[in-house]
Amino acid sequence: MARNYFELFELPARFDIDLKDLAARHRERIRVWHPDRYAQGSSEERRRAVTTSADLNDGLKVLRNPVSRARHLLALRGISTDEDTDTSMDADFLMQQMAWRERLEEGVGRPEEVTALAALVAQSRDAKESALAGLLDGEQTTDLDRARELVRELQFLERFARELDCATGEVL
Amino acid sequence: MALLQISEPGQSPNPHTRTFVAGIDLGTTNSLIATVREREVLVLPDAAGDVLLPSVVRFEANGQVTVGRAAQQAEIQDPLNTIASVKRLMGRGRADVGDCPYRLAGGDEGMVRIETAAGPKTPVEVSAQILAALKARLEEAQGGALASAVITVPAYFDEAQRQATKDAARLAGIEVLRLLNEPTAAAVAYGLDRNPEGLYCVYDLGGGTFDVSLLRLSEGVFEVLATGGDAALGGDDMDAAVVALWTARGARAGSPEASRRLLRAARDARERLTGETEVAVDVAPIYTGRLTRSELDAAIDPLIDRTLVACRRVLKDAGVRIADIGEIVLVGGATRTPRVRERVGDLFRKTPLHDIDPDRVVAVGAARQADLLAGNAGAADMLLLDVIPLSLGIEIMGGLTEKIIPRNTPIPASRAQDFTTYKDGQGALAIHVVQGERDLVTECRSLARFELRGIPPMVAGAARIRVTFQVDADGLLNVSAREMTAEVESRVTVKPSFGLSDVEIERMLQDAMASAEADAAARTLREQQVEADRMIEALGAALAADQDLLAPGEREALAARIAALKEARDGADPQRIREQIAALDRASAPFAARRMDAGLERAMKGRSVTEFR
Repeated sequence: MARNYFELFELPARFDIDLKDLAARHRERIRVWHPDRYAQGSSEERRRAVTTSADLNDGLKVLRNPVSRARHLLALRGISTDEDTDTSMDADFLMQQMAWRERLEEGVGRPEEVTALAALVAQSRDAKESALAGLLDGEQTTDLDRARELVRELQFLERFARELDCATGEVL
Repeated sequence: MALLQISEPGQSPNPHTRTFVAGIDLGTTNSLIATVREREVLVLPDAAGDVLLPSVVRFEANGQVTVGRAAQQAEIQDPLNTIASVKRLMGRGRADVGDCPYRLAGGDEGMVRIETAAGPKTPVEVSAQILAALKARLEEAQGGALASAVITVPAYFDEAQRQATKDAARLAGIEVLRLLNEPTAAAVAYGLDRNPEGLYCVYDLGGGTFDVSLLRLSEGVFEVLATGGDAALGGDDMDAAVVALWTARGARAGSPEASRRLLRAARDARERLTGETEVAVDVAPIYTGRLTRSELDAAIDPLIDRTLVACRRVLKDAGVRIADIGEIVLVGGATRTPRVRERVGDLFRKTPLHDIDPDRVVAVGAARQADLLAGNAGAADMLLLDVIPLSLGIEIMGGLTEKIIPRNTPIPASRAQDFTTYKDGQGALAIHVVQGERDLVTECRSLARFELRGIPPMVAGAARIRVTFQVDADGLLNVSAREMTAEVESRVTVKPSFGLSDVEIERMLQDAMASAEADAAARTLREQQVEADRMIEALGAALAADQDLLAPGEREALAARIAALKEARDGADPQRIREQIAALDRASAPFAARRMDAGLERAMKGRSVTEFR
């Protein structure tokens, strides 16, 4: 992971960032680098425009989402989250996940039940994100293993939130 | 070979010749060309004052090619050589094309070809004829050369279809400044004229394609938030639905000509029903009757339903509610149908915009964008950000698709993903690039296959192969694969399986420019070369199989003759090849005769025990 997307947008490498500011910085840069600005340029200029604006688009996507942003911050510190190979999770977290999934299955067709569950999940995500901000943006290097665990849990919750979204879509 | 020379826009080799940039709407039913003169968009008409060039091309046996209205008039008398709606075939393989009124050639591999009196034609060649006609129109009207153009494509067009469009432009001698999504072009046309900020939904129902796009305009940046649609749904299908209704009432379309006449009558009735509530239909002797507005509405409602489903899906993709939509822009001739306007208005609870002619709006936007890209439009500091319409990915074990760049990702985009080997000592990796939303590779569009070779021997799973996808601003893809531990690299510009190779394009360019005479000579030469190859190969196999039948010195004599034929074959003189073929034929005749005798003898022996007892 050589590329540092924070540098691309001239932002400090922090978890807690202003998304509106990020979008504005992206827009400012893409205005300059978009290949349409080099339609009459040399082939080298056009090649650079494509690569740079692709990086800007990719960087925006990575930094906009909390899970990928945290993963990127960990990667910059040499820590891989290894979701594919390492599947061990905290037992309490897994128990809670199973309980919530059961609630979702029972709640299908009952909008108020699904909505209540969605609120609970959102609350849990917020809490984990604040914890993550504390760990990643703290003054001294703290418990990066715990940060790694939080990223993986957030990944789970993100997926579950999407399923909830679909479920609300169906009942409406 | 002689390639068309294209000078840099604005830098003509002859300083007295003016060059122009233009916007081209290459449509399923009609095509248009527009250019900006003194900040005003000019949609260029033909000599008769008509801006719409019917996208119809006729190929006659004598090599004559007709485009537009004249070709359309020949549609009924010469249906098989008069190609309409070719856009539907762009970038498509034989298996993708269902019912089609033409004779199609081409096997499972490569783009479909249409058999015409002037030989097989690819959709790219047919489209190039339309583009060349538009180019000529502009050059005649403006008294200068067309340097380059923005060409519009449906937002839903996949990689192969975009590449085919670019190839057609190249064949017509037009440099492509940018492939622009049609709905974006439409929004550009409206946005620049009024310049409000907000969310636009562009509903584009053309002759053969349906697109819906959600765009956001703010501070001069047009951002495509999401696109959707159906690459095979349009006004043509409405005509077909009307014909189906008439067929149910007893209309009999036995021939291609009769079904063309019925489709023409259906289109006519549909257009007349925009202003009237009931029309008479007379396609005697095939069908006569009446068609009412409500019958038409009922016939096309299922098609409109499909468009509205796509609209809802796009809104959902972008996380936008119906109430957030500021304006709905209507594009495409089929949106003149009152039922379409009514139902689109119902869905969005708002009257759609239609004050720019829905047939011209795309060309107008394309011309504005061309002007901007050519650096002429000083004041407008506008930028278009597009998204990729369909996910790009590669095939992984088990015939599954691994998405690398998901649908609706802003472009340009690049994304890398690591893969590994599945066998010990695996030295190569086959990479199959696909496009589509389905999990099974067989249900996605195959774009390209290539191999990464030279992976050093390692245990399974140890190699780390990074596959990088890069999509440019036109939505065209480059893929590279690299083994990270040994630094082996393989790179391809994706030439879609249904696209044309550079060699094919060059051949077509050459074909298009060479005189008919030179063309025929080239074909004769090629035929003789093929014949020579066939003969050398067959004789080589015979010599290897039946050495014992050769007379003393015969092998040497034949080898000398073969060498002479090979030499002639590599030359350019078909007559010499023909002579050497004849000479080798004579020289090898005794050997051939002995082989036949021996073969007959063996056959008799083999059967003697069972059949001649």
